[in-house]
Amino acid sequence: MNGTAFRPTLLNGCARAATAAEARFRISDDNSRPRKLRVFALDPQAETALLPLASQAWHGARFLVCATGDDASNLRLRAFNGPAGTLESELEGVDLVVMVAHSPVGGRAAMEIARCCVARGVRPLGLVLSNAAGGVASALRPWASVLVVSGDEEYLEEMLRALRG
Amino acid sequence: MLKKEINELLTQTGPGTVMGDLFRQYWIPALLASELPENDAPPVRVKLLSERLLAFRDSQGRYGLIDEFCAHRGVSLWFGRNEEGGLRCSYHGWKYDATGQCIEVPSEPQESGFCGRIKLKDYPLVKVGDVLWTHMGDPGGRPPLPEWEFAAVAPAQTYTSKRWQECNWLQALEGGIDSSHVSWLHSGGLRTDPLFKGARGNEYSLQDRQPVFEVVESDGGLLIGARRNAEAGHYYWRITQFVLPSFTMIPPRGDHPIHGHFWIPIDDENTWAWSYDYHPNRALAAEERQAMIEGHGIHNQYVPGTFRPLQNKDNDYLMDRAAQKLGETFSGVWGISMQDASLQESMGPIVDRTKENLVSTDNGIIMARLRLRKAAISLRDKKQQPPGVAPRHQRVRSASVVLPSDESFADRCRESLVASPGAKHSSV
Repeated sequence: MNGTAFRPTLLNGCARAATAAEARFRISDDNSRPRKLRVFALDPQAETALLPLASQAWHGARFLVCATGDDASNLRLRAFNGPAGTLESELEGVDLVVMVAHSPVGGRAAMEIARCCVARGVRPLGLVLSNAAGGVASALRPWASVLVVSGDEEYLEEMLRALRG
Repeated sequence: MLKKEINELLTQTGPGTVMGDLFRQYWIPALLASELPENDAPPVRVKLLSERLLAFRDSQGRYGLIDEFCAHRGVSLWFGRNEEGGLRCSYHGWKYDATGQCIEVPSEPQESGFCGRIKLKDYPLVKVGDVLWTHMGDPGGRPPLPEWEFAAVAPAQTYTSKRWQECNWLQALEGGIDSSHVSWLHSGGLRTDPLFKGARGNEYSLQDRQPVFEVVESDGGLLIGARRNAEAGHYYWRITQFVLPSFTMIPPRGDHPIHGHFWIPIDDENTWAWSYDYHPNRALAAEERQAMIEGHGIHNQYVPGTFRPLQNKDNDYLMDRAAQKLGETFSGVWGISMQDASLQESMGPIVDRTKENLVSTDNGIIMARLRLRKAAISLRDKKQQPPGVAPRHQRVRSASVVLPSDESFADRCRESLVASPGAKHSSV
């Protein structure tokens, strides 16, 4: 036992406890608190993809649209169900940021969101909703800590549910 | 997290289940060819997808994979005599050929034709490479034989092992596509394992423990790229292949062989972890093969005479706290494969995914689950052939490369990610 003073006495004291019968003694209390997610549509097609999701019930996900064609230094945001705050206020206390893109036009918005995230210790996730993703992926790659390319429209919801959005 | 009903759909592979039907579309590894080394060799009990079967090789070299139990009184044919072109039950002498057809019932007159009415369920058993493969689905939908490169190269270039893993197949598979654990759990092995050490890429892996991930759909499954800092203006990419239903290929290191796994359900609480190593354009060196036999790399040591790992749940995987404290191993468990297996088995026979807290680096796992579920449901509802059945989906390779920082692995590595007979693999 390589220096261990005592050998396991009961079943749950050793790896043999990895049985279905022993699983019923696992703690059943919640092991996490609700997460705060922000999901940004970076372009009009991404906004279309987010629209049906924005009206669903979520634990802590909020869906936002980035204004395009904006030369101003500050990114303009709006929510699907009303006005949005500034980028800084929307990112206050968030756990996860998802940037959704279908075309390369959102590269600048991605940059601004990512910079704001880094200042808050959040690593943004990029989702490209297209299989022919070359240009879109290139636009997001510098700003996303995880980049996902999927032509499957169901993936976004699947991912958000899996991440406890 | 995953809903309970989806977890059940993905983890249950017995007859009549949705995921079981998906697995039955593919040729899957059933036995090592060495388990039936000669004609009339002793039969071998086989359990796959929750079905108890018996494999044997008759006097003419024909392989059979049939229902384990005699149609007469239900005794195990494992006790039978493999002789003169068939397997004879030890109880009353009923004899079966390699297709499960009963060819002799000694108690009945030959001319009665009684034995012609007795037929055990059977599946094909075909040798490709070092492996005997079976297809447990509808014979009318039987696909072409498998074309995985590890099974297609010359015998001198390849080595395959298998081990029993005491948990559901999905948690084993998910370990195979979870690249983010490598810099932690397996960090010790990168410097010491004879089948890993010495590659330039290892230094990138050890220097940058926060890789950036890119997950891209492929025709057969997924590509999972892990990007780490390399020299100025460049990234080191490690690209893992996942092909449905349960094939994974780990990115190679230097001139070491390429390796990976098949995760095949024995039943819902046990899995065959198949581990292959091959080099696409040279024979394995004697010391490489010996290292594999000794359990290095992704292989393991065994309880003698079995496929059970020497390190197992009955001995706490020979946990070595001193080695853990010294940093020789991160978890205290020796060997890449048992480091994975010990943790995956600790989750329980079928992990409760309603309680998990996934993070963004788990996107490969999230997408793999979605692709599996959609493939299974499309098969059930639309009879649609799933990804990974077509041989072209099987002709894949993993890769490790250094690319300029503005280039995409999916674009630049297109050729490297396809098996090309005799061509060297892309590996750093």
